Amino acid sequence: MTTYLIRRFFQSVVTLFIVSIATFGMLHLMPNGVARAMLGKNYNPTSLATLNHKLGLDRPLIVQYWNWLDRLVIHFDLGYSYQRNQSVNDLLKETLGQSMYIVGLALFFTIALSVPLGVLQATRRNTVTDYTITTFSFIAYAVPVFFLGVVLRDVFQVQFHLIPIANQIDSFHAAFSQPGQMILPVATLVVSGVAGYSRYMRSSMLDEITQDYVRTAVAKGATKRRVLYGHVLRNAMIPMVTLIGLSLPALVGGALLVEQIFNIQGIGVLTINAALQNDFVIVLGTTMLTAIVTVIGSLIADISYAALDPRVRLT
Amino acid sequence: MAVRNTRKVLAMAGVIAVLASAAACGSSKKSTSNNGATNPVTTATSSSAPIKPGGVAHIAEWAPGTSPDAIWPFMTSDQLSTSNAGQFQYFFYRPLYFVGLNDKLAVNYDMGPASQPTWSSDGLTITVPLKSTWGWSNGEKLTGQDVQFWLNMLKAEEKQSGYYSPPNAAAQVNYLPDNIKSTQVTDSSISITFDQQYNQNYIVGNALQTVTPMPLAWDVTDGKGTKGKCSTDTLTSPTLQADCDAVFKYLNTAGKDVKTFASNPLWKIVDGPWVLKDFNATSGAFSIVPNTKFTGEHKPYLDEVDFEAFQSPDAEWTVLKAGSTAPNALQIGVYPNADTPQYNGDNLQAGNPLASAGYNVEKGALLDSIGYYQVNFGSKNHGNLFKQAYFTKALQDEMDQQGAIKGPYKGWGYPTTGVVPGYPDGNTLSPAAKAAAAKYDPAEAKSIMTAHGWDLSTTPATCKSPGTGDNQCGAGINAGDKAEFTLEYPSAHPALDTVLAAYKQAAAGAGISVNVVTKTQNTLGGELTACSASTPAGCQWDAILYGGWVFSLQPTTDSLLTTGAGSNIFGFSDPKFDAAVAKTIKSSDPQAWYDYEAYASSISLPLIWMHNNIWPWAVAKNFHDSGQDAFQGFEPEFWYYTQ
Repeated sequence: MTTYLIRRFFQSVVTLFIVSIATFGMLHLMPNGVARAMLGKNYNPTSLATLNHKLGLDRPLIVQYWNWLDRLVIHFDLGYSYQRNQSVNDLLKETLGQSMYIVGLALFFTIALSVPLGVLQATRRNTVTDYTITTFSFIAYAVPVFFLGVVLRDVFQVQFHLIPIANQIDSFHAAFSQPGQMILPVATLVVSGVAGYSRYMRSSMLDEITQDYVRTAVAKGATKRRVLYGHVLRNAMIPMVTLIGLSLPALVGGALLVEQIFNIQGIGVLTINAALQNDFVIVLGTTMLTAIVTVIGSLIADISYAALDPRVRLT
Repeated sequence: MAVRNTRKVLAMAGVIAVLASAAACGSSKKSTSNNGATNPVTTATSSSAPIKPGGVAHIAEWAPGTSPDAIWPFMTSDQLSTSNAGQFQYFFYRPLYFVGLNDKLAVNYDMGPASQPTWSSDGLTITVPLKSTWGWSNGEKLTGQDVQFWLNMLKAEEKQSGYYSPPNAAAQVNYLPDNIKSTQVTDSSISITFDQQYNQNYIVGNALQTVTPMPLAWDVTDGKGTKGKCSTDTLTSPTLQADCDAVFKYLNTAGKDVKTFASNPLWKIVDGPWVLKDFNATSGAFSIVPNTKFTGEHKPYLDEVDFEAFQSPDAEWTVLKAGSTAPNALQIGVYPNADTPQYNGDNLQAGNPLASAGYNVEKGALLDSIGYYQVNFGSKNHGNLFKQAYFTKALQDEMDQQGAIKGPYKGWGYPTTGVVPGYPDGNTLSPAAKAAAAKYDPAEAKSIMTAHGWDLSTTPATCKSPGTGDNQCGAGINAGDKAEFTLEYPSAHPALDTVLAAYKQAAAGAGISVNVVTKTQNTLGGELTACSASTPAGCQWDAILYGGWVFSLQPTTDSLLTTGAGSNIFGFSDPKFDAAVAKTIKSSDPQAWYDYEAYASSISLPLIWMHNNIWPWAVAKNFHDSGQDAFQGFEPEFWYYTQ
């Protein structure tokens, strides 16, 4: 296990290194550079040279990259956004909380609903219950998140005023202290998530139900409940663990569409605005954070395999 | 063709708008037009109900995703924008002369600390009297020294400053502070002697309107209040650079620290009608409250104005739809294009989708602006084509501005007629300029191309008569060369897609193949450099729709079109044009403008005129909105609830 973790750690470092180089390189491919875009029509050769110097963009690319990497590794300093006049660390601190809160809640409810639904469908395969849930899943899966969000918002907030509109959710405190405001964004994500996850769960359960060990357990006199929840469910959860592990980056990646629809100043909105404004320092920071969590999520999924399935050995 | 309050820049001669210049707010004048249904440039709306003082207003005037990022009214090149100035800093710190109010093209002496100036008999020295009643909220009186402080800072920090323009050799003019020979400061005035005679309206409305007096309390070098010497120097002091460097370093850092905008005691010292109460560094939302020590003419009616931040136009639209009496309701917002009612000057409320939600439609101000897409005379592939006056005339003839306004923009726009804005009223327009106003004439475009030796049997047309004669293709164009180029424009603007698809189709009728390509606004901005050995990328682009230009009071194009001007990235150079521009800056004679307009309309300019937008604002029925001014500023001290 220790050997495995050490090996994975080094793999992760290499992965992150490649991601950082790719992201850093791509963001510097912009014609005439970031400073030119920042200046807009205030551009003239003098102002461009001054700004390039101020931003350190007049140094060789390798030096810029090394400086950035040095700050990141030694101080976990993701840099300073000259367009927002704030450090990227501060911006992430200010936006990450509300995004993680919403996505985390959505992930929790998605799992909490999709697992029993998948089990229910598998145990009642080809019944009205199965067909009904399947129909719901297909419809929910087919409906784009942005459309669902807009419909929920217009029905519950605009038409019937069942949930008041907040002009802005711009902090974790604002999100946490206004649970009513979280209902629709979370519901939007949950509906889409449950549709997909429950299908996976159903398939996984059906795969396991037909395995030999199930027949053996039944033959040995195990109760249906024990077979289902003691054996089948545990094994059926293994593919779900992968899915959940790979969903973790969404916690820090935010849910851009939902944030825009419900006016939440989260990390998704921060990233897209930065990308549109060529604020490469922020984009680099959020990309790296997402990459780190993706690597960790993948690692957690692998470790969870071993916990759920003793046959799996992490070596 | 416009985005609201996107990053726009002030220049010595003007203010530039992104995306074909237009952003406005509801005006407060009565309709004066009988034919308003077809002519939005003459109609406005009104609120004449009695004033109900007090209250808190929630406003959405900053475009989604944008917010102020500089509070010190001495911005660097990357900070300078009309949004930061007219929609934020001017609430607290008033420029020496305030131009505009509603859509008036005039200096509004009521609004700033300086009264009407006087000039010496030789026309070289202006004396700016400062109002004896005007002062700072910390008790300081506003004096000539406060003006000198700003000028000194400009002199010392010209490389950093967004307000500085290098001398314009082509137009033979210098700009602040290079054109100042000397200054004389008293408690109640400042006299400035210039290096040569200038158009006096230009000095007041273009040059001095950028100068914002600064309190002596800001002449400090650190947070402990260590006194600086920048304000007490003169422009020729040998220690000016060092003295102002120290102050600049401190104030510039503090002035962009968004987290302390509302808490830093420096920024609480104001001379405008408002003071910043809150600023949310994450979202950019902010609140202003009246400056209780304001000594100017127009004191605020409202107790507080909250400028809300939205992450998308849709999020803002949702709040508007919820109604003007809902919790967190907006008093002012903007109709998104998809939900904007068709413009009807006779009845602006016709088709108002927010009527039952408690909002009126109000017509935004007409800006002192020109809309255009720009062509690159330095383009390595098609520069020679753009240099032909007949070709740019043909390109202009294919641009259906009225069609764009009436079609995808639903009537909410006004045309660009030429190099001097024809709208709003107030600019000096010669009969020649009026006669040469841009018009849509595809037949003429076709005729022009045929008459200059192009074979229109295919699209793109090919040059069959090379040469420089009147009936030939022109210098640098070879036989078989094609009439084609690429026009890049900002993505995610459906109305623009429609306009440019129609333009492409119309141009094809004259044998001109326009390859339209979308890119993000900032990507386009990054491409916009002049063609030179050091910036070869500037030789790659053909034509780009990036934004128009909003002028200062005098609509001269010295910063945009003269040879070597900072914003002349088009490779355009014409000594006669430079001379004509120079006259508009140096002479107060209207004939200078007439000559300039006449010459500009006779040559190939690198600008193809497009329409300007008018913003449709949603204003709560119980709220009075004074409107945005013609230079993109807001004046919330004129807003109030009605009885």
